[in-house]
Amino acid sequence: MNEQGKILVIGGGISGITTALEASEVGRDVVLVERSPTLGGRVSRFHQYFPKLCPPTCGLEINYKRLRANPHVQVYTNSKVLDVSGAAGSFKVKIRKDPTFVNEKCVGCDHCTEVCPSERSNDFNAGMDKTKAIFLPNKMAYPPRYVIDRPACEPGCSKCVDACKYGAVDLEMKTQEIELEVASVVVATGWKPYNASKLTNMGFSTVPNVINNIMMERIASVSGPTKGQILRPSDQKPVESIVFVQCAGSRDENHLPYCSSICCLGSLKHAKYVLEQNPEAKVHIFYIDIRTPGKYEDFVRKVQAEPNVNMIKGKVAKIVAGKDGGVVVEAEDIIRQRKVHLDVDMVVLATGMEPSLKGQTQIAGINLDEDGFVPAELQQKGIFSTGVAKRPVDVNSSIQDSTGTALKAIQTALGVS
Amino acid sequence: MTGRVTVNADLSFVEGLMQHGGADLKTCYQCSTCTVVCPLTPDELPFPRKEMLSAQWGLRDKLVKNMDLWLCHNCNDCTEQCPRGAKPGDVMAALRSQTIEHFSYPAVISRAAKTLNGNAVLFLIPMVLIAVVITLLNIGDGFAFLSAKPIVYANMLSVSIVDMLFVPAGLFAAFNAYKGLSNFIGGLKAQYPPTDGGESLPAAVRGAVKDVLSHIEFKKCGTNKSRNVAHMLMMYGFIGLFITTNAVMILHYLKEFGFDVQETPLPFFHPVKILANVSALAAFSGIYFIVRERVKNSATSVLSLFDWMFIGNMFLVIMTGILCQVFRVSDQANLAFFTYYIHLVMVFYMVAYASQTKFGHIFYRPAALIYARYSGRNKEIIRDL
Repeated sequence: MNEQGKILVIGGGISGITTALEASEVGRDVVLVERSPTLGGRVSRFHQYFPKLCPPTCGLEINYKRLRANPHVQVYTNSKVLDVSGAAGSFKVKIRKDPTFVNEKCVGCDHCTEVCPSERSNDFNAGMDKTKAIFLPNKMAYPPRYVIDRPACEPGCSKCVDACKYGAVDLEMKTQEIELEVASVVVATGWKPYNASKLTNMGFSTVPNVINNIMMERIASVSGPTKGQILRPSDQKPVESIVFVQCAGSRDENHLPYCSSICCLGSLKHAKYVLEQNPEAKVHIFYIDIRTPGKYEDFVRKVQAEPNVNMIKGKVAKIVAGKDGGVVVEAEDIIRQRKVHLDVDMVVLATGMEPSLKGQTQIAGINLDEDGFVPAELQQKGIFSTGVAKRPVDVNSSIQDSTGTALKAIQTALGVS
Repeated sequence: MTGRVTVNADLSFVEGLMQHGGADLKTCYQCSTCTVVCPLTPDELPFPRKEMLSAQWGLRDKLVKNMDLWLCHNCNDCTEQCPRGAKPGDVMAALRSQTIEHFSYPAVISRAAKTLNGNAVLFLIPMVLIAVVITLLNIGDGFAFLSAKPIVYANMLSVSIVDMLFVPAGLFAAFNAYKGLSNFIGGLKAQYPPTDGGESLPAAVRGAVKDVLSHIEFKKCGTNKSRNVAHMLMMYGFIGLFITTNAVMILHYLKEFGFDVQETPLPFFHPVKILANVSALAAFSGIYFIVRERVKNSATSVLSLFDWMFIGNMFLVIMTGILCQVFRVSDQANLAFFTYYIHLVMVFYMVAYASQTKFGHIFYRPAALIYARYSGRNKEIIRDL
């Protein structure tokens, strides 16, 4: 290992991976800690992502390849940072690694799932389908290793242990506590979609076929519950008309007081998904303002020019069930100054980004602002934040931010700042 | 649409709105959540989003002639759901108060009704006037009415003297209300030329009266649902008191002219007396419920002085009216006559400035409700885009 201090990166999404790679590829030792069993974070759940609208494989695969080739990065998945104490140059860090019950001998042969009798809700697909209790987190999982959701197992069942020819399943695997000393810390904990059930009037979880934008990504994705067919959840009917509800939670002092900055682009992208599958589909986007920061203005114009895309100024404030699985949305068409009641096949709530750390058990030593973000200025010397953990931004900005943050973390580790 | 649009922004109007209940109107970002959740707005040209925009711009001329302000019954569903805390319900209320101020005649009284100092003057007028009249009439016999038994309020001020004070005050108010209302209706006509879809005038009047008496609009409210009952109690209470007060006056003059009718004060079980007491209790409980709700909602909904003066005045009119009877029956002469004096001052304030205070809504709102039906404010639902 390197003479000088290590860098701890908390969070294995695109921001954390980028920070870890940028710092380690110039020779720093990096510890990358991810809470879930696989790296990839939010990006791995997209069907396509900006700026180039490529599938997540194209970005993540190259990063994983860089990680595999890099001796300076140590990755802890299924792990949680509990505590950061000390000062810049010598932080003491406590990490808890939870058991996945499958060790590194796993080759991904899938014999275990064939014999597994239990199922669990598949959080990777936003709960829209199920996996077995032993499962591969997703097709691009890093590490590419199965895990067991123990509470989902049938009591006393050990069929997977017997089915595994490689001795990879270890039901006795224990939680490990790891203590490290690092020179600097980068918080890259990212975000989660705002809980749309809190939006009274919006019908999420009460009106069938009202989904959020993450579910839309999964429905459009070939690795999703519908194998990429855009079908509405209640009856698998191909979607012929769809409403996108912008600012579902964002820019609302009762929910998320800030603009999440990505949801407009997200819905415009979703409009494209729908029209690519069915050019005759009617797409309605209800907005307060279409906000596409950066250089995405052209994308708005392109989608707006589609004959079947109808952009309506006015926020949807009421959603109720229609006939035969339809959904009725109500809004004011502000330009025409009339209320519209629109009956469509499916409604997508463009829910905003809530920082992952909000409402979670806090990591001692990391300071949050009132919205749950980790602003750089609130941290002690040697602790940095990047990506959406810091403020709501898109993938591109997160990557740029993370590259810069890697440099700051290196400077602290080298004692030059 | 080409051509020039001239916007006459009136910043003092915006400031006035912000002072009188619409303090947060500038935070509105025009998402129109308010309009969608409003249970009362028609689908065409819905409110209150457009009013919020006009209010931010200070479009006084457009807003004071806006009939939609009066279709709003302050349910506050909009304020409850507003993502910016702009409180559209309060802004609409402030706009109504600005409308009354704009059209009221003479304007000096309506301006006074919105400030503490102005209200002090408005109260001082009847306080001094009535005190002077009482003194002049009773100084001769050394205020003998205080010791006479039983307590008869007419010993202090005879019914004819009371009428000489209040009938002119009422006529003054009626004239002012007429002037204000005709300007207001003129404004409505200019802003909303009647369409073919409208009802005939008699039908519009009938419909509006029915709506007011049944409180059908209040009943549609979500957030402020309980105001339905409170306002109804208050309204019917005051209608009852208006009837009984005038009935007593008529009885008095019938007696004067030699008819054989019941002498005042009326005995406790006289039908008119029963109606008066029932009405007073109804009005009192109505006010109680309104104040309770207002205090409960004070965190989310701001009450302007204009509101409080109205509610406070109503409360004191009823309270002193009830106490007058209590003190009279329990033979507390000093308290009784003092309360009666305060009662007269409160009633004078209510009657004389009726068209300039918030009480004026009893003229402006029905006028707007009738005009809405007459001009064909439609409620069609548009289902296709």
